[in-house]
Amino acid sequence: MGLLSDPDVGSVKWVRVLKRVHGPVCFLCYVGALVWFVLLGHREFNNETYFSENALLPGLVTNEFNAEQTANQYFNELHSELQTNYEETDEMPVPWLVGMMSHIHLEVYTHNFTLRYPLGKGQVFKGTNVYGILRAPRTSSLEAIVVSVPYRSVGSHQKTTVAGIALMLAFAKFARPQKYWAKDIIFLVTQHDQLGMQAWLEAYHGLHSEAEPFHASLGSFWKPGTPKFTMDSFLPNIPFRGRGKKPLNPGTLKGRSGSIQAAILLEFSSPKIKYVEVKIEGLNGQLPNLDLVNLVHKLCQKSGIHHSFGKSYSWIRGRDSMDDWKNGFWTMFEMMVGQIDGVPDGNHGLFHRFGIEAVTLEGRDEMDPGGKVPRVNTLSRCNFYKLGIALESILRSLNNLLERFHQSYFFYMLASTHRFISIGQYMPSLCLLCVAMLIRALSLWVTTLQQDGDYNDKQTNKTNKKPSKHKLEKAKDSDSEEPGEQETKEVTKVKTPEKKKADINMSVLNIGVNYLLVHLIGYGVMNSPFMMAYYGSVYYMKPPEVSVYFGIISIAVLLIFITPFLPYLLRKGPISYEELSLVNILVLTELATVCLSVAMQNFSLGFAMAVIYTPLALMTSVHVRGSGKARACLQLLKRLVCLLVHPLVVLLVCMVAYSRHLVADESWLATLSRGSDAAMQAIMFSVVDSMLYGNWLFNLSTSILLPIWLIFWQILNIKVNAP
Amino acid sequence: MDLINRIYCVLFTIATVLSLTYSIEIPEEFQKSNHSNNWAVLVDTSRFWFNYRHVANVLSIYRSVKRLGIPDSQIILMISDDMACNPRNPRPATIFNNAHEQINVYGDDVEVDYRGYEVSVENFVRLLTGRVPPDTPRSKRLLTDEGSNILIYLTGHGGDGFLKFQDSEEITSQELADALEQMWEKRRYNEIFFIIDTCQASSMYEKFYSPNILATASSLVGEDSLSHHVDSAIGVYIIDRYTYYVLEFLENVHPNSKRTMSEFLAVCPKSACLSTVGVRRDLFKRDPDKVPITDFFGSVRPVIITTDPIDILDTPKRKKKPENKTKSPVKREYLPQFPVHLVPNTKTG
Repeated sequence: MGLLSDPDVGSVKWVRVLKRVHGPVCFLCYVGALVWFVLLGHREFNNETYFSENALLPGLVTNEFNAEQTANQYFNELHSELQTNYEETDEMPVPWLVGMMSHIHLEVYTHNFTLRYPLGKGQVFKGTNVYGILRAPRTSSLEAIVVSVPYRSVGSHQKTTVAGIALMLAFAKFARPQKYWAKDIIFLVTQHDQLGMQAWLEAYHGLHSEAEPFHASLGSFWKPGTPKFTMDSFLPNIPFRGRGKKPLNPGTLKGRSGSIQAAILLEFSSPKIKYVEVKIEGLNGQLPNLDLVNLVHKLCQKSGIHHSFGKSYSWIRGRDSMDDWKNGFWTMFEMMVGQIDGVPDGNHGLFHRFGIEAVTLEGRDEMDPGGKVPRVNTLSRCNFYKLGIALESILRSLNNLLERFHQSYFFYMLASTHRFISIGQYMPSLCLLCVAMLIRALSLWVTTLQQDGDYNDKQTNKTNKKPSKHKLEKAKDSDSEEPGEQETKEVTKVKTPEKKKADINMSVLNIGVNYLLVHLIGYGVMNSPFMMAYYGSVYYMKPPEVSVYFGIISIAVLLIFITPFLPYLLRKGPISYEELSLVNILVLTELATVCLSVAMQNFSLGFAMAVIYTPLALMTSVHVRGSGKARACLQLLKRLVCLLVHPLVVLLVCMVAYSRHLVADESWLATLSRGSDAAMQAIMFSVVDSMLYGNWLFNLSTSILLPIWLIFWQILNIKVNAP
Repeated sequence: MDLINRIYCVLFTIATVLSLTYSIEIPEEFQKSNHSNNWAVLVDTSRFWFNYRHVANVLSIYRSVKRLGIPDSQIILMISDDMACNPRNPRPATIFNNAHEQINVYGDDVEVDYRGYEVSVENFVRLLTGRVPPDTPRSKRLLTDEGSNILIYLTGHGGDGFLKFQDSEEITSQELADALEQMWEKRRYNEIFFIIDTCQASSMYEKFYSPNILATASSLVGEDSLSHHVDSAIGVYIIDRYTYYVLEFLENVHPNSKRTMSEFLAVCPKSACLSTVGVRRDLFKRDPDKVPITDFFGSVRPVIITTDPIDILDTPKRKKKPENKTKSPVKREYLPQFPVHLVPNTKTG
C-alpha cells in the first residue's frame, strides 16, 4: 500500500476515483446517516430489553408492605404542617422530618451547605438536607442504597413532593424491623433541588470546598496543596473564577454509610397519580445502567402501576409496525433532545458521575407538562399501597445486588419502555457523518499533493517557460528559504520527495500559530462570564444574565470581524492555497474527532453537532481569487450558511422554535423576543451549571465548537491566489 | 408331521436346558455386592445469594444419603457459600429445599467439610486423588480403597466442557476425567456413580475413560438445567428441577428397598425436567437394572459372619485395681479422669 505522502500518489487509481466521486459519496454518507438514524426506531433495528444481572432476582419475593395507613397519616400531617408553618417561607420543615425519622428509630442527621453564587455580587444561599440511615441489621455498613425525595416548598413553581416524603417515611417505618437488609438504606430529603443533592453527594464523597470543581480536579484524587494551573497566577488583577474557590461549600456529614450502590428518587405530589414516569437522563447525558431502568419498569408493571418513558406509555400498544416505528422514533428523539443540553431531568442525574446508578420515579396526572397523554382518563388511580409495593420490591431487588451494576449497557437509547437501542446500533449513523468529513479531508489532501506534484513536474521539465507560476512559487517559498537558492536548486536537479513535502509544509508554523490562537480565544471566551458578570454588575448595575448574554454576543460579533485577519498577524505576504487547504483538512479532522469523542459519552450532543456542522464542513472550500462571478456568489452564500450555524445563532433559533412550540399563537416578533430571553436564560444556566455541577455544554461550545466555527469562517473569508 | 415333531423335540430340549441352567444360577436376591464400603462426595461449586438453589440441592442430597446410611465420616460435603447466614436470608440460620419450608436441610447435624473459599478446583482434585497435605484432618480426606463405592454429586454453573467453581475458576471435563483415572490407578475406588446437575452437564462425563463409572447428568450439551420453583418468602429459586425429582424419588427409598439404579436413571423424564437427562453406561460393567440403589446411596455395614464361637475373656481390670492397692500401695498415681468404676453398668460388666 502506498503512503499518502507518496509523490506518485496522483497517478494511483483510487486517488483518481476518490477525487471524482468524493462529493456524491459524502452526500450519500450524510443522507445515509440520517436514514439510519430514523430507522433506529423500527423494531428490526432495536431490541427487547432484558436483564443481564443475575443477582437482581426481580420480583421474586412476596410483597409485605402494609404501611398504607401510615403513609396516609404522614401525608396528612405533613400537609397540615406545611399549611400552618411553612406557607410563606422557602424553608424546609427540618424539625418535623427529624422528629419523624427519629421516631422510626433511624440514625438521623442534618447536613448544612452554602452556595456563594459565582456570578454577580456573590450572594450567599444556605440550605439543609435531612437524612436518616437504616443500618443493615446483620452485616457491616459497607454498602448502601439511597431513597431520596427533593423537598419543594408550597410556593415553588414545581409540583410539591409531599406524597413522596410520606411514602418514603412510611416505607422506612415498614423496613426498619425487617431483618433481610444486606445494605444500609439512606433516606434523604434534600433542599433546593439539584443544589442540595450535589452538596450532599460531594460531602458524602469527601470533596472539600477548597478543591476545584469536581470536573477540574479529578474528584477525590485532589489533595490540598497540589499545585494547579490557574489564570490568577498570570493576571492577578482580573477576577476569574472566584479565586479558585468552589462556589458550593458542601460542608461535612456527621454520619456516613458505605459505598452507595444505587439510588431511587421519588417525586410524588399526591398518592392519587395516574401513572409513573421513569426519568433517567443525567448530567452530560450520562445514563444509568440499563438493568436498573429495566428493573424499575418491570417492577412497576408487576405492582400494577402504569408507567411511561417519554412518549411511550405502558398502557398503549401500537396497532401496527408503522405505528410502533413512529412511536419508537419519537420516544428516542425526545430522549435525545433532552440529552443535548446535558442538564439532568431530576436529582438522579447527579449520582451518575459518582458511579451510582439512579433513576427518578415521577408521579403524573392527567395534567402533564409534556402535552396530552392518550387515554389517560381511562386509567385507574394509584394509591400508597401500590406505590409502597413497587418501592419495596425495587429495594429488595437492589438489596440482592452483589456488585455494582456493571453487566448491562451504559450507553443506549430507549425506543419505548421495553425496547432499547444499543451503542453498536446507533453509532454507525454518527460514524457515517464523520466518515463524510474524513473523506472530504482525504480528497483535499490528495488534491493538494497532486497539484503540488504536477506543478513541480512541469517546472523541472520546462523551466522558465511560465514565469507567472514561477513567481508564485517564489512567493510561496519566501518565508522559509531564499528565493534565489530555491530557484537554482530547482533548475539544477530533480526534486526529491522530501523536498516536495517541505514545500507544502513550509508554512506550517503560520497556520499552527493561527490555529492555536483561535483555540486560545475560545478558551478565553470560556473563562469570560465571570469577568463579564463582575464588571456588568459593578459598572452597569446589570444582573449577571444580561451582562453575560450581551458580553458573549459582543465578543461573538467582534470575533466575526477580527478572525479573518488573524492569519495575517504573523506574515507579510498572502496566504497560499496549500496552507489554507491544510487548515481545512485539519479542521475537518478536528470536527470529526470532537463529534465522535463527545458522542462516546453524550451521543445526542455529538450527533446534533455532527448533523449541524457536517454540511458546513462539506461545503467549505478554499476560495481562489478571480475564479468568476458565479463562484463568488456561491462563496457569499456559503458565508451566509456559515453565519447561520454559528453556535449562538443555532441557540437562538432553537430557543425561538421552542417558544413557538410552547406558545403557538403569538406574533413572530413576540416569539422572537421570548426566544431571545430564553437564549439569555439558557446561556446563564449553562454557565452556572458548568461552574456548579461540571456540565460540559458551555465549555464545549465555547472552547471547541466556537474555534472550529471561527476557522471555517476564516477559510470562507480568505481569498487566495490560484495554485 | 415328522418335521414338526422334530422341531418340537428340539424346542423341548432347548427349554429343558434353559430351565436347568436357570435353576443352577444363584438367585438375584443372593447376588452380593462386590464393594466393602460407601463414600459420598457432594459438591456445590457456586457462591452468591442468587445461587441459593445449588446449596439447597447439595444439602438435600446430603440429607438423603445420610438417611440411607452413609455416616458423616464418609461424606465429604463441600459448600461454597454460607446461605444460612447470608444477611439477605429472611429465615436466618436455615436453608430450605421447598417452598413449603417443612424441612430445614441445614439442621444441627450437618457437617460441612469444605466451606467458602476452600471449595476450589485444587482442593477438589486433591481430595479425589488423595494427594492432600499431610496435616489435613481425617474429615477432609477421602479415605477410600479398592472396595469403595463412591457417589459423586456436583452442582453449580457449568458450560460445554467445564464446571465453574466460585465464580473465579473452572475444572474442565478432561481434568476431571484424568483425576478419576488417577483414582482408578491408585485403587481408590471400586465403582463410581457420578451425578452432575448443571447446564450442559453431560459434557462433563464425556471425557471419562476409567472403568466402573456410571454417570448421569441433568442436561445434554446445548441444554440448560432449569430451576424448579421460587420460594417467594425467601425470594430465591429454591431448588433445581433435576435434583427436585431425584429427591422425590429418594424420599421413597429406604435402606432395605430393592429399587435399582435404572429406576434412578429414569427419574426425571424430559416432560418434568425440561432438559434431557444424559446417562453414560459404557464404562460400567454391571447392568444398572440389577444394581440396587443402595449400592451407592446406602452403606455397607461392617458385618463379619463367623461360625466359630468367640471367647470373650472376662478381664475385670477394675476389680484388680483395689486388690493392687491393698497389696502394694503406689505412691504416685494418676487420678481417674472419670469415675468409671462408680457407674453401675461398668461395675457389673
